[in-house]
Amino acid sequence: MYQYDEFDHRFVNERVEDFRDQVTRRLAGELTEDQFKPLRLMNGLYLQLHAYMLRVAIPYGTLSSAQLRMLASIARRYDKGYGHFTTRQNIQYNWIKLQDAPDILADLASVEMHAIQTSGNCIRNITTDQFAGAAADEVKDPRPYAELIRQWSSLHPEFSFLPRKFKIAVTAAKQDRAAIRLHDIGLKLVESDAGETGFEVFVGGGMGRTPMIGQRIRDFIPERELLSYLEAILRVYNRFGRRDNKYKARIKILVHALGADEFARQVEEEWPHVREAGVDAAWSDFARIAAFFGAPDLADETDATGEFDRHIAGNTDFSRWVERNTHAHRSPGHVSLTISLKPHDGIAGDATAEQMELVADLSDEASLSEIRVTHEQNLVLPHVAKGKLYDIWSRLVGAGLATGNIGLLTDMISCPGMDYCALATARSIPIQQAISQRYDDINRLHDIGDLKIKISGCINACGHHHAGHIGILGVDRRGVENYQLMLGGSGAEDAALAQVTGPGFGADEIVDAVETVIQTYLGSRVDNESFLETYRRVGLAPFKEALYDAA
Amino acid sequence: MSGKFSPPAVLTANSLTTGDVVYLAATGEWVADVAASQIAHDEPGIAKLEALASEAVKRGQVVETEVIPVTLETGSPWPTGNRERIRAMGPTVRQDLGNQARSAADTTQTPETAGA
Repeated sequence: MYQYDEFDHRFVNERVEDFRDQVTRRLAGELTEDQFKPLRLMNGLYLQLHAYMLRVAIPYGTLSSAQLRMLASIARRYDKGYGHFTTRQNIQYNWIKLQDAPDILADLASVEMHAIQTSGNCIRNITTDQFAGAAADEVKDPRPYAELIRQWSSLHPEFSFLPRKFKIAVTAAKQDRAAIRLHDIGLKLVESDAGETGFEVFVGGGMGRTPMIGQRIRDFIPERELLSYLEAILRVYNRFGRRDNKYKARIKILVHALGADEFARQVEEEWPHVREAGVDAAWSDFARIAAFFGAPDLADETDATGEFDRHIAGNTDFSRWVERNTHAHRSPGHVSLTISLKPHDGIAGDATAEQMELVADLSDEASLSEIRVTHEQNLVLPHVAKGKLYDIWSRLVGAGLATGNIGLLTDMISCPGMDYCALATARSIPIQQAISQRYDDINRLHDIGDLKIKISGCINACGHHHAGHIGILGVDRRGVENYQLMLGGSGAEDAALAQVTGPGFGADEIVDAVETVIQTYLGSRVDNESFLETYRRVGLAPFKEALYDAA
Repeated sequence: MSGKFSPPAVLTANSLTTGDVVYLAATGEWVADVAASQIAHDEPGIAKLEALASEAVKRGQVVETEVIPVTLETGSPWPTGNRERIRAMGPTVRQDLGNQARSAADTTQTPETAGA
């Protein structure tokens, strides 16, 4: 993975000392809150309902074991012993004290991490496929490009005060696990017929109160011209994106207003000016970056799976866990292993310091000391030999981390909601927990099959409800929590926005409503259709009928 | 600052140093327990709380001050809104955390003073 050079180290350390000075001056009364708030936000420090919250950047969701151990140490030393992995592949801590923040940032800097650009109207963490560099179905590792974009976008003077925040995702696989069409810019790595690497470019996707699917504005940008093309997009947005109304300030509104064709035309018009400025010039830098992401040297383990087959045959819990939680690896005899952070009755994305340390240990022993964070709030050991799975599973069981539910109904995304978040209008975690309790029968979960439920506690949609096969949006209706239900969304390569079923449900009704949807699906499905396939075949009508007409 | 609502009301904020949820007590201290809050029973009372809020912010004790409506049905102030009830207690999904944990662990003592 990428390693800081001398410049990176110096820069991040200087930034820590700047913030230490700012905090000292704030506590001494030399800075007012109005002066200080933008400074703390530029270092990822928010004020939420109960305390300060620190959001730490995990570039494209890739962590080393040393970094994960430091995240655990921070959770134990400065927080309440846990952290929350987010849908931007980052981590946030919920109980931070202002006077501790500079020390935490110094600890992070010691393992090449920071909290820069995890807030504010700038380019946020670049996200990607959690199986990048390992997946059997990818063209090549997208992370060198994500790192290139990270370096280009870090403290970019022109793009530090955009009309609104800006999110970029990259994928290189056939299956889109990075939700690229729900991003301000989505990049799909492709190879041309001539064997040249480049990107298909989508713009104007997003969730929030005005959800939109990103539109393709370019079929192919050669890799060497990627940055200048991105800069041209950002320039058009920076110039014409609305600044008068924060709810209409995202690039999706501009793309929608102009039309994708006209937006693309303006980008093409701008592009030569950027290219002339030499943004793409130093391609040798890319080779330096790419060298950090060399394909892992894994031995062929096909014939070295040990007792694996015997355990698969003899242990249903283990075999089901393997079935759901492993993904095809490009190296024979290996898998990418997803560790579910959605235990029965747990809180989606939360991990204790001890759990993080166990995952770090396992990555040292079995995954080249590498860990990934998924946008679906789970952790991944990307390079695991099959022969080691049984031992890993046995140790995860003891730590409450062996839930075999990846991609099943209980593998829900949930934002923190009104239990923590100052923006939320309703709670989302209790709904996620109530659903998890209702669906505690693993046989039934497997029968229901692939299903993504995504829950947000306000219209900002951090819980990705618009992209849920079943989406749930909590709102406040005259002082009472109310939950809108929506169906048929997808963040994958078949991206679609979920459709609202009708009037919302009370907190005590929403789980029954989900069950009604499940029953309707099971009653309508043909052969082995997934929920989404059935929904697309039969449409919203039978679900509406079951939800609203039955009574 | 306050929206449009009827008294009774109390003044809440977050401690500058810790971020903890705090309430202005009758003693003038910032405390963790909403029940110990100084109560505004009328419009002039609300205006007084707002003035005290500005002073506390200027002194750098607290941030994000807000006058919030409460009910006195149980004899002591208790927020009327969901969000403020969660702030007063802590996350409903982690009852070991937030002010609810503090009061459970520390029932016999006066709530600790927060802020500078």
